Amino acid sequence: MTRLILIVSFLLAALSVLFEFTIAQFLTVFHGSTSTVYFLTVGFYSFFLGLGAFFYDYKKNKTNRFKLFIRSELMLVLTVMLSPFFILITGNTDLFLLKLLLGFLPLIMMSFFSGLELPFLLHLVKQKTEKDSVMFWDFFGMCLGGIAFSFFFLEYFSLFKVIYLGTAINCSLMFFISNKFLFKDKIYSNIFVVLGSLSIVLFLLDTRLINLFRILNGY
Amino acid sequence: MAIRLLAFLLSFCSMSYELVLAKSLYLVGFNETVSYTLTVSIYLLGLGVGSLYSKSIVKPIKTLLTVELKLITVSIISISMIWSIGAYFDIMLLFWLRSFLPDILYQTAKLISLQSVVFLVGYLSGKELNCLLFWLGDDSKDEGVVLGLTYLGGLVSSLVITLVFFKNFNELETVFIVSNINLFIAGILLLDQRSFLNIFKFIFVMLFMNLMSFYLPSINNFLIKAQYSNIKLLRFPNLKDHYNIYRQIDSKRDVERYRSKYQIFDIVYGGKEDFSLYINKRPQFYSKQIDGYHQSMVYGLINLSKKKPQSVLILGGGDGLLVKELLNVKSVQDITLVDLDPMIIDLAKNHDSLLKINKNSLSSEIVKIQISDAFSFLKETEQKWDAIFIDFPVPFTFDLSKLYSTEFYKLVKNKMTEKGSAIFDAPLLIKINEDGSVSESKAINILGSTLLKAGLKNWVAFGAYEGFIYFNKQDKKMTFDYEKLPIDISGAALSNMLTLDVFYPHEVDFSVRENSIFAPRKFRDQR
Repeated sequence: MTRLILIVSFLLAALSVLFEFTIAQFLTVFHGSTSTVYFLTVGFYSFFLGLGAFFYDYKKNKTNRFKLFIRSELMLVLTVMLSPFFILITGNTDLFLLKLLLGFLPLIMMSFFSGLELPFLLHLVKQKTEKDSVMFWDFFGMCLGGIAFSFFFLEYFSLFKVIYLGTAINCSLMFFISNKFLFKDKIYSNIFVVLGSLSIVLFLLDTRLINLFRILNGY
Repeated sequence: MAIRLLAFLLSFCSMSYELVLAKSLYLVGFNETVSYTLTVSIYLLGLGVGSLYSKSIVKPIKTLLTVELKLITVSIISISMIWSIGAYFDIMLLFWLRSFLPDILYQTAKLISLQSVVFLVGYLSGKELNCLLFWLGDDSKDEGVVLGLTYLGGLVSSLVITLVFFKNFNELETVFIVSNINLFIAGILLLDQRSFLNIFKFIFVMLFMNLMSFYLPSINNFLIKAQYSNIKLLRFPNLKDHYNIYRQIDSKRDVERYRSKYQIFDIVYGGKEDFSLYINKRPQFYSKQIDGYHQSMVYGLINLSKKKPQSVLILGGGDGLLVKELLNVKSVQDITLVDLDPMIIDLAKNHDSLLKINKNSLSSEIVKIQISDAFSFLKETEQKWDAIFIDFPVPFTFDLSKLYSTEFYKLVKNKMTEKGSAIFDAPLLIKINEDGSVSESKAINILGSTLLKAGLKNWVAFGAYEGFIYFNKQDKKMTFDYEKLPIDISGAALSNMLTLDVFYPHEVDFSVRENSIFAPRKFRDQR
């Protein structure tokens, strides 16, 4: 059980950072300056990650924790999947401040839902040493996710491919978890199958998506 | 209340250091995206390890004071450490390490050494947070609030540092301001932990800070000179080598540094008159070799198009050198120059050294200057031009590679008159191998594929030593007519006007993925 939690903790943290940087890279397409976008991303990400953790703390005794976790992952996957389209729509707004605030909204939402992951995983282990291990694998996952993004994904994949590969992996993981722990409630695992399949289709449609974005963006 | 305030301030400082370090790493010569993402990752790892290795803190206030003093000491010298490590690798260790290490391992060693500074700051920041949590105690209900304020501090830092500090202060000044906040916190903690040793440590750190504030600017001036020194030691360095190289670097003239909202301009003097301009540490031009480049571009386009342009658009080229060359072409009636950075325009119009070489060209009546992002300008303008000159920096970063993308070339194509043409600087066509031989680079195929996807099928690549790509909307084969070149063209420009066969459209591997703003490609390896 602990090993599974460590693996999940590592994978979710890596995916979270991967999503963070991919959305940031998308934002640079529409908002220019890489340094400004990345620095703001880091701030928003850490803050809303914390806010998500609070929300979990607030909600943990009022609802089924597994369901809360699964629902937040569902929202996370949906947010990330829709983020390119949202950034595209808001990116073409003329009002600078509105463009900036709305542009960061998918990132804010993604960070918020990601924030619920760690407290939930920490809650699953009882001993302090196990909690430390979960924390370590979480930080380690973030670190490797960041390194993989800059040295591998950005080099060889389009931004769409990174996003939809990430959501496909996330859905597979959540399908496995919801099947294992919420086996009576099949609705969640079914939703993850649909979203995972859709992610794979969008991953394969990468070139068409790029062309679509070019047209929608006036190129 | 005190712990809440501390949580906010400590997190503000910690995040500020991270952002400054990320920016400094970029200025050492790493790719922008890589340095930002990597710094965040390593910082998070440090944060994790820091909190992991401070499991049982018996005296949290005392420990926090010690951590604060360590963090101030490390952060004050962190920028100089990063620059020193970068310069030391490039000057003292490059040849020796490369004699037995492959390039990838050399770069990894350099990267790990640089990132150790980031890790250390992350590690100390991780300890800070744990000290605060232990200070609160196990039963406190304030844990959530403290964590929340920690996250809020991070957010405020990223907004303040990015939108205020980086626009008004350099990295060193930013670190000094932030470390003063840390020192103030340490002072408050000292009130609770008054002992001879703690007071001694505090005074020591305060003196160290003052000493560094006095010496660091000159140390950093030296390090900037070192970065541009071009000195390479061929063997493992001994003590005498260190001294000799120090003397060599120290004897060089100071680098003139100008900062704008977007970039850093360095003017590096060689002799009395000659100088080089660098933007974000990337070379732009050497004052003694400007004719070859700019005449190749101007007369290359005119000669290949067989038409003298009347209306001209220059994208980039805020230094005024291209305009100077175009003012010699009698047919040109209006020139629109679009540059993102007002600083370069200001330098081109007012800096004595630049004025000498651009002949004050930007003050000409036919020159209209637009301060704008080239991408946005092309999207918004209705005008079309006979000739478009694209003079951007080499796309080392993903930010710059947008200006070499399919989307960008589509915009350029739409802004050319029917018989119009365009030319861009493409110093990517050839790759200089480790043994000094020259071969075609991977950029050729990326660039070819990018142009094709933009609907441009007719182009000519030329340049024996300065690469350019010329294109138009027509189908005719284009060749140089050397007899029609002006008689006063420089030898450098003339010898550069040789077409590169390897880059004829039919020679390019179009199966290679193009460079798009949605799928950015890196044109040249740069760590």
